[in-house]
Amino acid sequence: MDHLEHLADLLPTYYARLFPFPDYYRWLSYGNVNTFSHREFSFTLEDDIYLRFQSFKSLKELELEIKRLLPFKIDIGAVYNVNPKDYHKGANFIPVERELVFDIDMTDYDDVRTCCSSTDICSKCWKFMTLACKILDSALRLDFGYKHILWVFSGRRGIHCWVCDSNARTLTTTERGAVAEYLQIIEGGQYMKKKVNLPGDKIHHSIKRALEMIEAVFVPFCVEEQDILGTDERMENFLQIISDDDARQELKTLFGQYNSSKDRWNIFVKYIQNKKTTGDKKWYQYRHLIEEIMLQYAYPRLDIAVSKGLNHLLKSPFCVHPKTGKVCIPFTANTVDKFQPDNVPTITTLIEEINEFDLKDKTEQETYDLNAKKIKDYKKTSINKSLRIFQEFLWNLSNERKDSRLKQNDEKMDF
Amino acid sequence: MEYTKKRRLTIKPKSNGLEDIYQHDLQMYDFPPRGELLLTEFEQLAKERLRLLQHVENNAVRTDLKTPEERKQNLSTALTKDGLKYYAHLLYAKSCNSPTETDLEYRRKDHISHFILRLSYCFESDNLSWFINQEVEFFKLRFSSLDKEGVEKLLNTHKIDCQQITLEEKDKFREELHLSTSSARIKNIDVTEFYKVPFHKVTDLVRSRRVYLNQGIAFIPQADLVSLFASYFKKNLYDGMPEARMSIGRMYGDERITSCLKSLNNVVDKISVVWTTDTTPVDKLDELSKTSYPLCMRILHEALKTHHHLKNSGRMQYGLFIKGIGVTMTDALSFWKTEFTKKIDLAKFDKEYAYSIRHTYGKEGKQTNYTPLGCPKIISSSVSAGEYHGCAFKHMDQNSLRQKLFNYGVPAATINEIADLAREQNYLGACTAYFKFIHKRMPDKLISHPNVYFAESRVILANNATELENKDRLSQSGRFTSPGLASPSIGTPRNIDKGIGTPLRNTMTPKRDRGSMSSTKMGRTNMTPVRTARATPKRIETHLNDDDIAQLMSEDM
Ligand SMILES: [Zn+2]
Repeated sequence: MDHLEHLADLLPTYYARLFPFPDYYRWLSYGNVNTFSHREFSFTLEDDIYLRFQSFKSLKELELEIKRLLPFKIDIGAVYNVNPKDYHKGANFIPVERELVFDIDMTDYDDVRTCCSSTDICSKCWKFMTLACKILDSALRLDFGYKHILWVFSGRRGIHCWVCDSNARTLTTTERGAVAEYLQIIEGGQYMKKKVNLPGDKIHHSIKRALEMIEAVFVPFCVEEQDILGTDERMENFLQIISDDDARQELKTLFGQYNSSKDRWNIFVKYIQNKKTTGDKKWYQYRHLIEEIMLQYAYPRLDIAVSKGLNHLLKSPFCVHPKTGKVCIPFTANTVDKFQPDNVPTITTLIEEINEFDLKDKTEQETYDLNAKKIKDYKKTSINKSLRIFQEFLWNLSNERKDSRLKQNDEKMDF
Repeated sequence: MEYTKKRRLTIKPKSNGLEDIYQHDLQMYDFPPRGELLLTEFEQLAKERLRLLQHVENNAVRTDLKTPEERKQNLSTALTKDGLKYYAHLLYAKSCNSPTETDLEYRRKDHISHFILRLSYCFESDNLSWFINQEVEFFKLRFSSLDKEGVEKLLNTHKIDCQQITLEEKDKFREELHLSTSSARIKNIDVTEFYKVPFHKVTDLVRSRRVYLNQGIAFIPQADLVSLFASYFKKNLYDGMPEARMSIGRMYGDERITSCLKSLNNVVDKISVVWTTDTTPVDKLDELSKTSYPLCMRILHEALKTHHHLKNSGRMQYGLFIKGIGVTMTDALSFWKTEFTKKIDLAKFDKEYAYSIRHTYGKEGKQTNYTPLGCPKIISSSVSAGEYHGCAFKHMDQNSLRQKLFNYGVPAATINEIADLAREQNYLGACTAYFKFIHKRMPDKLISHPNVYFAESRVILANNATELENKDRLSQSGRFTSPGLASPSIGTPRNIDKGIGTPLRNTMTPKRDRGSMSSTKMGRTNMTPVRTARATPKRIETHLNDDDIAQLMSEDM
């Protein structure tokens, strides 16, 4: 794909006719002008020119500047105590607010996905993202009580999650770190083969919930489709997770007696269950092993440094990915099963759609001589659906603001 | 606390009702002390509290001490030995409602000395977070000594917001409470009282997934109340700092007090001795990695040499370490460049990596002078797939650790010893055992920082070399001391600290104000970051790393 070549030509139209400036402003102001004007934006222009600490007093100012600079990438940073553009060099420049964000990138799955590697993705490995989205979304809602969660496609091979509840936006670094680590189960570097260790005899309710979602798809998805025990190399990687030398050897022999990944998985499960029930003296290290392995292969892999910092920048929704040309569109956890990166509209197709529509519209007008009706440009394109998701998210946010204002008024009335 | 310039520091007539003031063995320090104090007592109390906190810090590094009881025992022994009996007493105090004269006197000392150190530590963010970390640690240990009455009294006095759950709630969430609360905390759900608190009040329980969460509410068993109190205590300390700074302002002009406060601070500054004065040439690193590096750094060095790449956290850990052992920035740049360009082209290196290397030397971005990471930071680092940093004894599994040691020529018996210590989570012990094997003797100091390890190693190897010269004998440990390296001119440590043990800092001590890096609550209220003008636009996307590095350095432990 070579969108990069044309991107500079397409961006003027994209920003002029498709980028949803008013909704974008409604989102980032959260009903308060200062929240918007103290927000850091950063732009990456053509040729990697990088502008940090941009900020804008109004929707108009933002819109004009974006249309003037035509950024290849827009990042959103924190809301500061003062406006970043004028004061970021000042002595008292402090981030005060920021959505709680999560970044999940397919490259972190390279040791468990077998269909693709590095920047490539396909519909098979996209299922890792689908699962990650569902697991995180339910933990954020049920465990932490967050309601305003915006999921965004990162433009190429990952997803971003923006938790926008007001009590999430004001979390401190320590608190963000705690949430991120609570949700991070897979840990360990090159020299730590077993990356999930569940302590104690019981399994935490949050992990249990995740396991239920994983178990429902594990065999068809990981064991069969990803074929995690299909080759010698994959079996070797799998066996390294088992720390006990004897068990590893025995399993290796057992695996040799079967041909398919599924049969090998089944015999593995049987072998471990047997260890647990027959009172093997090492049963303790096997008590959660099956669960731990499923988690290692399928639980969300988070880049938690992104989540911990207040001032960490994250790519904005509705950016266009400069390599793929795809738009970073929002989606929801409820419909994530239907989301396919291949179907994400690219800047090229969107602009074609507008042109087609205009052409058709013009012909119709000529034919029937009707009054020209103004239709919003995005409604003419396949980005329409994503925008409706975004608007619904905004609607929920503003409803809650109204509710809390009413509540405050009620409280005042009491006096 | 206010002071006048008289010889005796007085504000208000001394109240005799110590019993009214000090109702509890464990204090939240939410009001400043009143009364008068001799300057000599002022100084003595301050110095003793500082020693206390240093002991607390040393104690906290001991990952081999698992239970609060073991930790308290160890700390108590150290305190008693150091003549700080009253702190040892307070460590075990239960809250006792009818305090003796001595009890009250101890409580008074505790109160006053805490506030003196507040004054001394309230200005600099690094010092402050060190001070608060130690105070919180000491608080937690003391909290674990309280009896039921003691806990309840503390809850009531400080009106800590937490609600006991009803029987209906307990029945409703019985299964979840059972699953998500550590077994050690709840022997029997029916006789355990649970409290509801907002999750952000018990971040340590959330972080380690040891608590049941529902809609942002944490259900904590009685035994975990310590987390709630500790976070209340910590917030209290941070919130009290502006007032401490103001009191200092009022004391301006009293030379003796200000110089005393300053001296307290200096002690701590000298503690984190890790720098090496002399320049270490990069062509010696291969050899040094075998003779004088701790295992974590040897592995990073090896990974870099093998893969010609290290991910960000690995670059930070190793890059700061070699900065600390005296590799100049120019040398460091060429060192990283030589390795990285075996895999990527020069332009990419310059664009993506050179900046962050200069940054660690304080030459780019916020110009913060970063200090090498210490063991607590390294041990607590998070390590992901494809990464090699962290503590070798914590972040390597047994098989990988054993294999690695075997490859490095460590004999089987020693491998067993080291691997067992690692499995028992005695990381410092394992590191020391590795040191002992390499040097054929124990280090003189507690190994609590990779650069301390290195410094110790260089001293021993230099002494060996001198001895050998004196005796004009051939090297017997030639395997580990090449003549070039054993010469004291490379990497000789300066300022071997003669303080108590080897206190180490959880947070680093860069020379410049790093206020801007702290995004904690404290950071929001009072920091004065020093930023230098940065010309925009710049072509370096990796500016983003500023924040990652800052993040890494400023995180709470
Ligand atoms: Zn794929």
